[in-house]
Amino acid sequence: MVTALLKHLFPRRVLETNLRITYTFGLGGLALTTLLLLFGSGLLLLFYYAPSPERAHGSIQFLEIDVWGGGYLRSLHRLSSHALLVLITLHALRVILTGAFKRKQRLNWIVGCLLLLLAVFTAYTGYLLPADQLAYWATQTGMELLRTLPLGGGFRSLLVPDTVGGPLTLLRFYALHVVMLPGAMFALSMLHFFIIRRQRGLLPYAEEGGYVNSTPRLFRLVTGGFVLCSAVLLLAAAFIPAPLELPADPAHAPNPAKSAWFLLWIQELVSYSSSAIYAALVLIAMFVALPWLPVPELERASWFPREHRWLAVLVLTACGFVLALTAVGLFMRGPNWGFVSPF
Amino acid sequence: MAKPARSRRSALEALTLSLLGGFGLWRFLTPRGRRSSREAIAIPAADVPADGALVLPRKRCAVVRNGDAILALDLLCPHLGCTVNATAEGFACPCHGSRFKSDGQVVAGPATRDMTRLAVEERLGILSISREEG
Repeated sequence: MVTALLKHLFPRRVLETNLRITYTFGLGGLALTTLLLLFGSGLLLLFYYAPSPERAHGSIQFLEIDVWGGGYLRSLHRLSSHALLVLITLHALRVILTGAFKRKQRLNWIVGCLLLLLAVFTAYTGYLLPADQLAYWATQTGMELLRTLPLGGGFRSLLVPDTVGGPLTLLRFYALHVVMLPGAMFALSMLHFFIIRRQRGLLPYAEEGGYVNSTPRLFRLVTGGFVLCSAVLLLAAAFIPAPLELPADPAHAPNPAKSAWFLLWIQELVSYSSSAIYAALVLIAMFVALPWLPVPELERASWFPREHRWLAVLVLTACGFVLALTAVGLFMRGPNWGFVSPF
Repeated sequence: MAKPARSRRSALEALTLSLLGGFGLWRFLTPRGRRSSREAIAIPAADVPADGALVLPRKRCAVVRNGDAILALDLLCPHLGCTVNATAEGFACPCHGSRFKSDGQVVAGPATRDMTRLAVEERLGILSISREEG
């Protein structure tokens, strides 16, 4: 019964050529796997977390020290969220570089972009919850950055009704992180799958037959990916503990104060000039608007199509730029954000 | 021809409803802040070393004496609001690397403004510093 229900998420028949693992690498399915692991571990963390500034840090300490498996679950939750961000990004890159984002797929492209942005926002709200130094300062710098944007002050007052370390803000981030955003992500990912199903699988562009039943080959791939991805994360969580810094202290910023790794490229960018944030915004806007940009239509989707060569160069350059900024922020920034050698 | 009229009407209805709902939600989510009165800080003037600075991280301010002049600086970085650290040359931000002289003047980016000066008053050997709290 449950299996039948789950099978209905997927198309009944798929193009045989689209079953090649090297076409999609199953990145979307792997991202869904991490999302499910996040739901599971997050639900269990709810039993111990106390969303108030006085008690939050203590409740995490209690979870880490006195609860059997508590530290493991927190680590699993953290690693899964990192994996989700990486997998969604790679999935989006796959869609771009195979040219699978035109015409009929516009709606699903937008749904996917929303999922990516929601994943980042959910991870950001999750960073505040442990109420440690990283939590406080990552949120503080992020919110001040928001204030510099047009209409940013309004959004900031929606997210931060008192102060970043205050009780109302923590409660608000908590509500967003555990109910609103996961709910939205679940609904949108179901919509994402539904649209694929309605389009009879990943678009072939040219109808040339070659369809096979999804049972058993597609489901063998799906199950395999699910098991492999879960196993890797479940194992990694046993060896990589989630860090917990000292309780948040607005008087003393850690030196250097670095934000979450997935936002570090923006922090590095604005350390040159505040207005550099607009470069990041333009990049994000172009990413979302990609199917509407003047890019040639393809006969069929494939890796690195000749007609999209300049697009691939542009996208890979942008990725390299973001990765380089992240690496500089991660390894080459020391006290007072001065340059240090990474070695 | 009735069809476009009806869809226009339903679009108007949807617009009105979402505006009303959005306004209500906005009001609901932005509570009146608890009025905090002006935060006042008082310290003995003798605590500030001659030609030096006294940093009060809990109050997020620093008091600097330069000859006879005394000035109080807000430790919030004017760039993106991190708390700056006192250094040998003045102040430095740990988040994005802005540098300031000991009188709060910006010497290196990304900050484009000097550090905020707070009102300071000396009376009977007591310095009172005040800031407006939002």
